Amino acid sequence: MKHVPVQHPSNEDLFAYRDGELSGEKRFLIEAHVVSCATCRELVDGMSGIEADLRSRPDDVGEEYYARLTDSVLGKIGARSGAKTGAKSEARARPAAEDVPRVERRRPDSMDDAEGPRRRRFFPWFGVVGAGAAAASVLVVVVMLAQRQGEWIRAPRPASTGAPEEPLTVRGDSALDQPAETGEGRLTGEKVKSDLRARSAKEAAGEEDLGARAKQNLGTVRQEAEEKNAMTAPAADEVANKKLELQKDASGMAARAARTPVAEQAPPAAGVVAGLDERAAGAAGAAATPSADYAAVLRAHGLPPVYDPARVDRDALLKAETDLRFLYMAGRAETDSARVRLYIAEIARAKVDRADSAAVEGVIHHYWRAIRLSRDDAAVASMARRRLADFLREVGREP
Amino acid sequence: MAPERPDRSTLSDGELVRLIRDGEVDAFSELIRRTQRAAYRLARRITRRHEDADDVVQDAYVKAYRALDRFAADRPFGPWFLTIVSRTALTRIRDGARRAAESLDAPGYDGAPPLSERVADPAQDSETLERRLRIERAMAALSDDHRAILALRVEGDLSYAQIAETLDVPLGTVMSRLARAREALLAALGEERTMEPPRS
Repeated sequence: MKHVPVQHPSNEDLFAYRDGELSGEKRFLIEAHVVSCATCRELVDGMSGIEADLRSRPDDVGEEYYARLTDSVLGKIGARSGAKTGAKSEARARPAAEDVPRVERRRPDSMDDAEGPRRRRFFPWFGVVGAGAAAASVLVVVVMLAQRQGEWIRAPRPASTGAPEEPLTVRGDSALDQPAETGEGRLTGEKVKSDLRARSAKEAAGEEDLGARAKQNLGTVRQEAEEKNAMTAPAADEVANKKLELQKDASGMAARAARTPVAEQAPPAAGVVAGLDERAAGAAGAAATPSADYAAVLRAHGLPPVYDPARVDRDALLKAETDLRFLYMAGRAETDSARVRLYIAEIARAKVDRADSAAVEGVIHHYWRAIRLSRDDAAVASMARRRLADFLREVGREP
Repeated sequence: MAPERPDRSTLSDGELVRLIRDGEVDAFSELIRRTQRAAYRLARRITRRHEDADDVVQDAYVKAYRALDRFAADRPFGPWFLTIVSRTALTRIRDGARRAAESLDAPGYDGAPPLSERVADPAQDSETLERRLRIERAMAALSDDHRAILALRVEGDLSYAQIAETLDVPLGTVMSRLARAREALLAALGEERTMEPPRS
């Protein structure tokens, strides 16, 4: 078989994909490439490992410092412990510094949402990829795109690791491997924008209600989380460190497997990637203990560690919405980000208006984020894939 | 003995902000408690020194307090505040407060062991320990711009949009700068093989 040189996405696109900052067609294309390219997967996994190490740096200061910091700041703004000034303090009357954002404005959520000179339309003919295309088809499309577009495709990345430049496989059993927007189901940018505007207005109207519910729920949840944190902080740190290591082991297994020589241009070996997932899950399985914050929210709402449609009814799901969103938005989901994201996907799905294309896209996006974040959490990955495929069928798209 | 602060841990960020706006200035302590660790870590990453990070975090809280009227109370306080922290830290390192980074072997705050010892988790093997130290050294050796944008992403966990707002640059610039910073980090770690090849 004739060897076709593999073209790679730019590092910008690979890292943006890894950071969850891509959406739409571009995200699907990069995903398809990363799944099939050992070199790019190694780059993405390697960077993830480095950043996990950076995040695991021990604190430079302890609780004493933070206590002093609080007192010092309160002293500067003119507040004493337990004081009620009853009026705006003098300090707040001063003009704000330049380092403060002028207004809290919503920025686009992903690179693809950005307006401006960078915005380009990628692969307008992407719909040629049929709904039932298998892994080999995806690879062919990527190569064709490289030849015709050259937009994000760069020169071949030197395979200095000796890794073969061909796909291991692309899973053929889930919606992940297919573009969601194909054929007649393709959405136009104008339609999505218009639906987004309408949805923003609806969301704004509903936020006050959510806030009121949050008052009732967050108290118990946060208190429990704080208590548990206080009691088990060292143990939690130990578990977190262990979890990080296991995650890296799992990534390492995938990377090592990716470096295993296979015949040049061999046909995709069905189940290889799925096998990697299973091995990664095996390595990471022991690390599936929820964090204290996440566990507290689940306990408060009687939810299972991983969303399961058989065990969670709609009312319970919606009741937990504010707390789960709080966990995610406040950055407290930590190693449970994928699990929280799966719940958020289900919440969005429970409320979605099928005629609102932007809302439908939003649900799909949440599932994708859950899948990507769940790299080493097989239970979440598997459930998110199943639910995404189910949702795609539900909205009349080909999984 | 200082009077006890009322327990406001059950209130949302928005409720706390509304309390502060209504004159309950002490409620600000709860917002500090929720954000101080992330703020300090971010400032420390950018400035590389405890003294500078301490100044930056304190300044940032004062600025945030003064600007609370401009904060949308229906949004989480954390990301907004981290934007202020990062801007303050960037201003500080650009305004000449440029000093050598603290050595990984220098004693920690209040006589704590140096970082090189604190990362030495007995449960970790020596290879892991060595890798972490190498990564810390490589991070500290990056240019201010590269280190700052990586810190915003890794420690601040800010989205590209939030980073764009912090640095006042377009979203595409964030994307390319972040990629260059990561490449520089990989290069500093001797992993040049993962660098993007030149365009052909």
